[in-house]
Amino acid sequence: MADRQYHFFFRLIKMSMKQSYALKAAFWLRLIFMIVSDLIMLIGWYVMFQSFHTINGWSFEDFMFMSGLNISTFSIWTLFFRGGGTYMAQWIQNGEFDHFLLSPPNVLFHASCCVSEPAGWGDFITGICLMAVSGLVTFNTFGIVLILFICAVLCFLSISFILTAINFYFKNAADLTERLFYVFFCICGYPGSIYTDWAKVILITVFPVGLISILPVEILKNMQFSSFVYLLCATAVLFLGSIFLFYRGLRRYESGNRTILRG
Amino acid sequence: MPKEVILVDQLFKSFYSSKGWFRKSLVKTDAVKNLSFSVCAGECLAFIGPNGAGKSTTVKLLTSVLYPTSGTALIDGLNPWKNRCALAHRIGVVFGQRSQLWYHLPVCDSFSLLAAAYDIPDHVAQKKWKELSEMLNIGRLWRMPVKQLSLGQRMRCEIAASLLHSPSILFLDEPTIGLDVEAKRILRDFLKKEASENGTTILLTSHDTEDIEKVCQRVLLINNGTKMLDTSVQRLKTDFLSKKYVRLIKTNGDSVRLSFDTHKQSVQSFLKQTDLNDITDITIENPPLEEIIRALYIGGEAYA
Repeated sequence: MADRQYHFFFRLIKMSMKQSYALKAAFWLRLIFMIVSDLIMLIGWYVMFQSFHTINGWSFEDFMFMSGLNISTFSIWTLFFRGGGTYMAQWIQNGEFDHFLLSPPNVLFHASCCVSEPAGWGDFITGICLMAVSGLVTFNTFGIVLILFICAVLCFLSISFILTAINFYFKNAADLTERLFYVFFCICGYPGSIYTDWAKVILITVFPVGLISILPVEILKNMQFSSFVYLLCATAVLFLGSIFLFYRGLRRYESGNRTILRG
Repeated sequence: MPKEVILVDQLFKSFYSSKGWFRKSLVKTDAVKNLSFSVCAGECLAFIGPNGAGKSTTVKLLTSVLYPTSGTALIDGLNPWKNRCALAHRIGVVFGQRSQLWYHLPVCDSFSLLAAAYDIPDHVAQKKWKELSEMLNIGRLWRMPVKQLSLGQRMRCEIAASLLHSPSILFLDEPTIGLDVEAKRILRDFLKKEASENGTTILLTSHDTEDIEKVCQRVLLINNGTKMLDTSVQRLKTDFLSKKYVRLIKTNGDSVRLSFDTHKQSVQSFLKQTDLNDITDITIENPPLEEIIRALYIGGEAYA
């Protein structure tokens, strides 16, 4: 059974990428400009760190690793799970989710994987390069970085599922989903060290952006085992909780009658 | 007696919307109200009713898209809300206004994905496509991007896509919407053949009476979410028909069309009062199905 699902999802991702490459010029332009956009953001922070050297104990290298992890995590979502989040929120709001419910594969992952955005390749390249040049990824830390990366991807997916599920519980919430995503990206974009005390507690619990932007750098810098265990447990709870929330909400789905074409 | 493959019992679906700025109150709309019916294997049922009657909601409930407020249903022995995945393998669904084909990609890509979704080996899917494409006359569309297909071509591809996994029950929600006469004919012939040769059960909603006449044997009329009438297409024509049309052909070739109500006047008295001099031929016809259905929509309650 699982084998069949993998086969389907492999083909689905391949197709959504093929669809995104159907408009070739747009594909390459978006990829290139995403790299340019990431570099412009980085130059701004480089100038800032040239003046202050560290921000609450974080150096430019720490920030580079955090940005690299954020951007590459984001790229995985954009490339393979872009249907989740804003797209799915729109489908639910407009009652355009029927097709996924009529097809045998897992509804949540089917809807998530059916959109791929070419800009993700630009982010992926930038993100991996940033992590590699940050100096925090060495032969000894490679294994732990890989685990941190997987956790970050799962946290990101979970947050996208939760923000999507809002649309089952509240009407016309697709715009809210989009706004919350912006808030999420905004918080992720700053060095994690600026969030202290209660702000940090909130960001690693109720609004778990810190699991992607704060904890991984701290774990890697200080090699804190307790933080690592917390991250693993929090990721698991968040991921399973988001799936549960989505399927509970799915029972409230109201189909619509708009004319729809896929892609 | 053929097996009942669709069993619906006391199905109820309500939608809620909120009203008011400060003190919000919920407004309840009952889309489907205590609907019960059954469909036997191989039967073709036309599910009709005016706009907003609850036809599409019922189809969506039976295909596991929507959860009911109350009531039960069994589709080929499966509860649609508990066995979504297993049910998806046994049913095919076509929504006239929805597409399961990928807009920018060739038709073959969508079929390849559907084959993987239904766990059909590629060579089996190819064989099935060949079979369906011959019947639906879509063989040359295989490598064409969906965005380049006409509405009729796309709809035939949609039907083929929903039959790729050889479902035993087919739900069609306004499949002929917007199609030209020829495309409609091909679809109707195909559906008729599919039901008679493969024993596929068909539940079809349509506003086109020809779909009902050409494809279905039975009609279920609903209005305001309630069943108003459940009868065969043939009986619909005879039982609910008091009006007759009489066509008189004169010797000079002109024709006159008269009508009378059998409930108000007997055939004999009608013919007696009609001037039959100069008449070479006479034909008595039932009104078209469309007229019967229109009359039922207007005075639906009278037939409940």
